Amino acid sequence: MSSQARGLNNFITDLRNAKSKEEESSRIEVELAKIRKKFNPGGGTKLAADGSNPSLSSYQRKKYIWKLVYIHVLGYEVDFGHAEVLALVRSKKYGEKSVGYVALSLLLRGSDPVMGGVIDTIKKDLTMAPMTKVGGGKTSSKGGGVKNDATQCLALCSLANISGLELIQAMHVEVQHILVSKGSTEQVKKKAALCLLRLTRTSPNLISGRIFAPHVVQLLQDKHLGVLTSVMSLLNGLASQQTEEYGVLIPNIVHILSVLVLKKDCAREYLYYRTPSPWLQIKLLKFLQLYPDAIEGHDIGMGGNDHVGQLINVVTRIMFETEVSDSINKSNADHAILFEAVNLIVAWGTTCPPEMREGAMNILGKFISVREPNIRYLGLSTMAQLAQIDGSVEGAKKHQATVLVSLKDADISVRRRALDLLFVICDTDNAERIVDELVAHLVVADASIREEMVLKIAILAEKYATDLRWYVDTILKLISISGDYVSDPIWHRVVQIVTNHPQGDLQGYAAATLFLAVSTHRCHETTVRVAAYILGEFGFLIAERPGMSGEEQFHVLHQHWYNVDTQTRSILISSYAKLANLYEECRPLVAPVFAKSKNSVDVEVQQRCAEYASMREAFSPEAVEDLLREMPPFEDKRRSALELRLLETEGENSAAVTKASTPSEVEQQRAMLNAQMMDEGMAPIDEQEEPELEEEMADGAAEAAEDEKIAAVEANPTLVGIPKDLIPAMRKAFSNLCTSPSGVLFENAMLQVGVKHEYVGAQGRISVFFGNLHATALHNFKVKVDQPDHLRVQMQGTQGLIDDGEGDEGCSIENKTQAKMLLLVEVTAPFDDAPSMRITFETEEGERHDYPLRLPLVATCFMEPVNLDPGAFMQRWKSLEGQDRECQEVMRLPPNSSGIDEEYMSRVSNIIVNGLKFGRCEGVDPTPWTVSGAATFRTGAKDVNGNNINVGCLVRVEANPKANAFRVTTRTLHPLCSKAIKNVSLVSIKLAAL
Amino acid sequence: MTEFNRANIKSKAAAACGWNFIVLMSRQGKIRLSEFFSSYTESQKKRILRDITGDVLPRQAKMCNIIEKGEYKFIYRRYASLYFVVGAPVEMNELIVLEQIHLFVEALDGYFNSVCELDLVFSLHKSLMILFEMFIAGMLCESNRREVLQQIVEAEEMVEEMSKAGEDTSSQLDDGLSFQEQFQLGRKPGARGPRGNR
Repeated sequence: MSSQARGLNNFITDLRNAKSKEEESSRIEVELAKIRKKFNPGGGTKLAADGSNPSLSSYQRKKYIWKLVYIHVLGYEVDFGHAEVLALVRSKKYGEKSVGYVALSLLLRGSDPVMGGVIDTIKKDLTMAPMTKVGGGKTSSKGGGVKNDATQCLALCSLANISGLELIQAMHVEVQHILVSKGSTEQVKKKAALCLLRLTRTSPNLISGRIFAPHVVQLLQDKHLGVLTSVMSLLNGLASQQTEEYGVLIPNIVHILSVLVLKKDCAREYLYYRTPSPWLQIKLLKFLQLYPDAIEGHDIGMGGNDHVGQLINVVTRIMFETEVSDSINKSNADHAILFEAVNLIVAWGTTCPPEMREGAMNILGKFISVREPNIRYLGLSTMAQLAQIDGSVEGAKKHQATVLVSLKDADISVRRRALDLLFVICDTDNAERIVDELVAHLVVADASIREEMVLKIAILAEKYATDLRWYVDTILKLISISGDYVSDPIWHRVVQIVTNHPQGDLQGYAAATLFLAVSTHRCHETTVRVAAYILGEFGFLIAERPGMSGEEQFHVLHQHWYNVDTQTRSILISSYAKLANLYEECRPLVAPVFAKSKNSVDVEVQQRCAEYASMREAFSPEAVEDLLREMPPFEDKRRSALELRLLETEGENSAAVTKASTPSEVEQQRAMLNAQMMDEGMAPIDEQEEPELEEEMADGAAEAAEDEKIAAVEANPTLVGIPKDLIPAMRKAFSNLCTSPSGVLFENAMLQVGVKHEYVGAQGRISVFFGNLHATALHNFKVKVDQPDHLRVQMQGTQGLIDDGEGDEGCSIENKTQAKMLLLVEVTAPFDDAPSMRITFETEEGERHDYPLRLPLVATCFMEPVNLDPGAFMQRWKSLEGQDRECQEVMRLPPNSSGIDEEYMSRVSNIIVNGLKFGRCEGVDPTPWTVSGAATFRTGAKDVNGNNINVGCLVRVEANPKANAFRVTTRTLHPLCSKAIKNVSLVSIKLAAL
Repeated sequence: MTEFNRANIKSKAAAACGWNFIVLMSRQGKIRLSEFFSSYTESQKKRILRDITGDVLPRQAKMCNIIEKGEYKFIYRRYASLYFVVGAPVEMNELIVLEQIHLFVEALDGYFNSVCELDLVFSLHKSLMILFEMFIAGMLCESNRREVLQQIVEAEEMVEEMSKAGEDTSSQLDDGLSFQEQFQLGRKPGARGPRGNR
């Protein structure tokens, strides 16, 4: 092979003859090296100022650049030669310039730093005045010079392809000018429109709609369909950014569309297989989809000349007069328009006349049974969209059988769409049928779609289960059919649902079913995991049944021990611990397992075994009992893990995700039932005794309330806030509630607000009752609870009660009745204030009341007592010395109080132990005048290892009876904790003085 | 929230009118032309090309011409042994993309007078010129085939006038090569007619 310059053709022939990919790439390597050398020979050759090699002839330069373009197009990276490309762009010769611009489009990106070097050239080429006014673009340039509009076109096309912020800033004004200029030829205009679109896409809001809309009106008058099509693309791009600004153009668009569709008036060159410019029709229909309210409120069928009537005619014509054609191209073009018309109907939604929606559904029904795969695919996909409009799902459900056929199609694309559509049309009526069909199909479905199917089946089964036992059965079936595709979130969800539904016999049923499922030796590992968890929690419910005693439960689980991985073993170990705790006879069975696995290489297994094994020696029996108690109900996240998983795979806009995130009726009923369950067993508010009154009270209670009220009252004279004389009582009520589980938070002649709260670790459940004490009903009653960063809050309550900022009506409370609100909170970080709760309502007399209150949700609510021996206490006390860690305050009791005596001290110690939930550390207090305690502040936040973050807290109260004073000292690792505990302690101790 | 979401979807749908990329690939997996209109990194490009080889080439003729790939979808047509694969945003009308591909093929056919794969191999620069004349940044600019070809011819004339004769290297096809890979225009995509029209 000679090394002398070879022509482009020879190079291509070489590549074509390459027998393997390796041969091809080595040939390309050789060529790249050669070209690099030509561009920069090194040695004595001096390069020009722009970095190009001046000794190259025009022919050579073009040839090498073409070679680079060729190599690039074959998918290889080309990262040099930019200087030569720019030299070609700068050339005065059209031949060189055109090559330069093509190479520029392909090889460079707008962000390349070298682009700066050609901005001026591009700008000059853009703004070149057309040499002659070219009529209709038909003038041949033969005998003339370079047509300037050709150069303009090159520059526009290149600019559109490379985009880039710097270029946009430098050029967009010019491009805009070219587009609207009367002097521009059609060739230039249509390219300028698209170029501008590309620029606005990279840098949105480049153009103000208000200013530009009139220009668009002008441009839409253009008779040249190429220009019109490009302008429509631009319009769609602009209107999707500033929709309101371009709404005025709807009549113009409808007019253009009706000329094409109804009159079939179109230049011959723009007929595509006898269809008037399908490209333009699609764009017009897309534009109209931006305005879903366009036909709302219009009396359709009246007045034929108004544009809405015309639009309806057009859409009707497209829908019902599209014919099947033998030519695949015509058929595609016509159906493209038809599908776009249906998309428009989908966009209109319920404002669209129902007969059109039904018509569309019927047409799609036909499409999903045709042989032509593209039409079938799109039919399924569009039907899923249409079925989501209120009231349309019934129509789609008729085609259920046909859709099920497509689920078995050979083509994965079609199968996916069918699955999606089934998912959308599934509801309580047909859920069992559809889910059973899907499960049956899962057996034969291939791997590529299985995971998606499993996920969707799991969601449907949960959403539409009228009986949750069916749900449990379905998931178990999923696991047995394709357990490998059942991701952790799916089985976690089963556990959650079973745990959170104590009503009925779901838990017992689940335990019994899983017992049977794991009794065979061969079953999927995921089944073992679910069974281990459920039997550990609810095994006791079936322990009385024959053959299912605790011992037998252990045996059916333990037969899988040697076949499962360490993660499953960890779950098994916890279940064993729970079994051993419940059944005496299990202990000798479990002990050897723990003993053996204490040395496991897996840290988790090792730790669990060691801890469970030594638990009984380390803690009191009550503590052990507590540790191994049933798990509390899970927090119900707004979006389940399954929905999140779906969101990941399908993206925000998919029909399936929308469907999955709206709760079904059945789900809502379940939630209601649960809420009722929780409310039962709580004492009605009226029977609670009123708290005593006291003069002045603590930090943080109602100060904010006072300020806000004054401001509000000034703004609106009919607004009633909290009367000043009520504030001391409110403060006292608040402080009382901080240390007691229930009480009245607020009371006046109109309203009584009662609170009942209880806490486990980092989580709390707060019920708030709003009782109407007024003679008439309270209307528009709303409660807004502040959601600070340090708390995760979930709220439910009487319909309309909770103000979620959407401006709803609120609820009404009849007199002598009450509304309820339930908050589930989890604390995630230390804090020293209390969340605010704002109550607003109106009386029938027309007064508006606005009460800013605070919920008694303070840091000490989340304490768990710790019992320390005196030595350990002092050691920690000393280790926590230091400014940030300690908080101290001395408080004198009011002179009229009864003074500090032993009885008072026992009240103080009672407050520390029962109110603040500290463990009293008796031995450290040498005199009766001090009280010391220790506790852990639990948060739900996780550290890097996934363990909950907890803060250890110590408190010490020292009394000086002679001075009638107290000193409270707190030491914790966190300054906010120290402060919060000190505040609550002080206030509570002061309260105890009376 | 759903209302906002719907409006959001619609605006995305209306804005989507351009291809992200087009790749011409032979049945053997050789790339005949590729142009990426949106910015992709080299590794993203490699991935797309690999996906085309893996997802598009093995498909049977009776399957649909659309493959979903998350953010975008492949929409392809097969002419003889050459696949024209377009990456289009999910919101774009699939059938119209199929016909845009066909429009491009018709223009190539008009220029090369019965185009075949070899024309594309040896006159890549001409195909690129036609592509850029018809599609600006992946968006259809001119659907009138005659006007497109006229522009190309005019541009060629200008080049010839300005440069010395014989400088242009285009269209000098090697006579020894056969024209077996003739496209079957106007036929159903994917269906293969009898080979060897010449």
